[in-house]
Order: sequence, then C-alpha cells, then structure tokens
Amino acid sequence: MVLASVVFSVVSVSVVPEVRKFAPGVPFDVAIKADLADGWHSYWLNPGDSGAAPKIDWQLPRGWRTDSPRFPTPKRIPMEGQMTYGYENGTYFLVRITPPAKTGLNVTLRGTSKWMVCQETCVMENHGVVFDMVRANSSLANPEWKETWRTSLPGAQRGWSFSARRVKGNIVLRIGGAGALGEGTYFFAGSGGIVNHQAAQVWTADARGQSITIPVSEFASGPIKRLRGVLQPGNGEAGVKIVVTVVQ
Amino acid sequence: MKKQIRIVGIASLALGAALVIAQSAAPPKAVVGAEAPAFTLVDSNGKSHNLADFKGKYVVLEWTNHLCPIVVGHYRNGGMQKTQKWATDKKVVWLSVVSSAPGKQGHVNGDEANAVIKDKGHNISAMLLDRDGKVGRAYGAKTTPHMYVISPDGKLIYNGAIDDKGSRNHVVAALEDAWAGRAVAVPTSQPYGCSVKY
Repeated sequence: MVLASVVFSVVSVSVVPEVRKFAPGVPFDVAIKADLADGWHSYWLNPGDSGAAPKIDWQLPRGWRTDSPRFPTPKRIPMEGQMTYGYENGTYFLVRITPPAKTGLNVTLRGTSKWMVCQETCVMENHGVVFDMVRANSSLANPEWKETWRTSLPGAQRGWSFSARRVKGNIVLRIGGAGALGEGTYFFAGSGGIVNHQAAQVWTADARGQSITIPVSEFASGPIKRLRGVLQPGNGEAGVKIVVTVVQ
Repeated sequence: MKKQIRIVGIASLALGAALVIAQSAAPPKAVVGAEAPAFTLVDSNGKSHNLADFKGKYVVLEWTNHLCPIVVGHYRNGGMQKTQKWATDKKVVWLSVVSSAPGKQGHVNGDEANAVIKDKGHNISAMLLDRDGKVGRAYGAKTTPHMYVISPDGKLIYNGAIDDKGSRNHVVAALEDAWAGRAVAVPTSQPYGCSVKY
C-alpha cells in the first residue's frame, strides 16, 4: 500500500485506503500521508501569507470519482515576519473516492501528489501514489486505516451557533451554545484576502456570550460577505467548521 | 511651576516615543489609490532606474525569485512571459524586482539575472536588483510573484496576485479597466507564492 519517488526527499508520501476490498458504488476514504524532514513545513488549504496547499491529480479508471481533499485543522507557523497556516513534521489529507456501479475485479488507482514545502527555501515535490484494489460484494476494512484520521478533521459542532458583523477594519464573530473557548481561539479563513493572517484575534467573553475580533486583510477586495473556514478553540478542543454570513 | 514644566517635558517625550513605535509598527506600504512609493534601483546591466523616470507610462512591478516553485510554474507554462509580452507591446514598462538577500533562495547578481532573463525568455523592460530588500519592504511585497500596477500619474492601481489561480489575470484586467477609463474592478487580492526571501 505504499509508496513514492525519493528525489529530494524532504517529503515522503504514503497512501492508506480505508478499505482493502471495495464494493461497487460504495464510497471510501483514502489517506495521503506525508512525513517531512526536520525544519520543513507544508500548507493548509489557505496557506496564509505565502505557500501553497498540496494537490493531487488523479488518473483513475473510467467512472471513478473523487471529491476535494479534506485537511486537518492547521497550525499558525510564523515565517520571517509572515504568518503561514500549515503543518510541521507529518501531516495527511483525506480524499473520498467513489467507484462506479460496474467495474473490473482488479483495479489500480493512481495519482500524483504535489507538495510545496518550505523552511527558508521552498521546494515543490511530486510524489506518485499508486494502490491496487479488489472488488467484492461488500467492503472489507483495511486494518492499517486509523479512524482518528477522519474523526479529528474539523467538523460541524452541534448546538453551536455563529453570527458575524463587520465593525470597521474587523469582523466580530460571536459564538453561541459553546463552553468557554478561551484565549487563543482563532479563526482560520478558508481562503486568502479575508483575514489579516499576521494579526492577533482577540477572544472576549461577557454577559452576552463570547466572540472573537478578527482583523480584516489588506487584500480584501470589496465587502466580505461570508466567513468560511475553521475555528480552533483556545481550550485545545478540535477545530470546528464554520460558514456564516457577515452583516455589514 | 518648575515641576509642572518637567511633567510636560516627560509627557512630550513619551508622545515622541509612541510616535516612533507607531511608525516602526506600520512601515510605509503601497496603498491602492495613493502615490506608489518612490525608488531608485540598479538593473541587471548596472543601469539605474528611478520610478519617476516612467511618469506618463503604466508600470508593472513583478516581485520574482526564479527558484521559487510557484514562479517556476508561471514561467514553465509560459503564462508570465505571455503577459509580459502583451503588456510591453502596449508600451507598459514591466520591471521584475528581485529582493532575495545574498545567500538566500533566488538571489542573483547582474550576470545571473541576465542568464535568468535569457533562459526563461522574459519579455521585460528590466530586472531590478533590490539587494537589501528596502524597496520590497517599502511596497510590502510578501510573495513571489507579487504584482503591482502603477498608473501614468504615479498612483498605485493594483496590488496583489498575478491571477485568481484560474482564468482571470488580475494585472491584465487592471490595465484593461484603466485603459477603458473604468475603476479597477479588483484593485487588491491576496498574493500567493513563496515568501520574499529578505
């Protein structure tokens, strides 16, 4: 179930599918894992001030479909006066793959993963991922699969509510229904030109509830209509997916 | 009375310190709609260029680092050279700026810069060498590439990415808006690429 080219070898890539045998038409996840050499980092969907998210180009048999990669909650990684969003050491992302209703007994799934990684210098590495799968009447789990890869991805948080309002150069994001999120609570915008990546976001709790104040990016072009991204609570709980309309 | 004067003196000193802090926290940066920061830089052939020399012409500034993978991608597919040719054919002054410090990724001397220009087929007016990064910092250049467009009257009309990572080239669109007498529809966007290696 492995592996990859080793040319520059900052990144080593491996792939772990959720199932060993797939059932026609039944989707499954695939984990694309990367280990990085010491001192290097890779990037989230929104890399922050600089960088680029990893990508994968698939070459799949006819009828096979893939969804967009899903990434774990990133960390803030300061880099020479800038703020980047990403991962140090190891990381992974998941891709949901859906086989067609009719397919051969044995299939080979191929893709090329592209990793931009930086320390002071930046390099781009391409790593092929290849794995063979066998069709069955029902899926057979892969013992190498770790369910925490999926459960630790940012997800919706039941019972929480969000509202957002533009106040001059900031967006105030109010969070209802949650326990104390704590100082250091941070909103990772899913794309650039929304949040000032370098600026601190201030968490406050008062009688009306809790909120964070998010300074807006100098590169915002026009009004910001929506916040879409991941809220990382300061208390260490898992990241929470957010989509909320911004009242101007 | 004497005591009072001393207090005033301390207060004004404190105010001075606050001003200094405010200035260092917010360095001069390129702001769309305002005068583009002035500069004089030497190009790859040792020729000096002052921004004021180009009054009356549109100027594009392209922060670059020929070893940055994102820059490499824009040149490998020919997109950047094509945009340069399109612009310079229309009498736009296109200045590539290298702010990589000596010893850091993408730093070039004049000969190396000329080799990059030849090797990659740049269609540019000049490649400027910003060894100490002063001009890059004055503009707030964050990434390679990071693009700026300056109008003939010296005002900044675009600051951001080369494109939307799709089919829209923001530099082309800004110039076309300006030539048509329209307000630039997208005057800023998040630049993307490698960090500038100051």
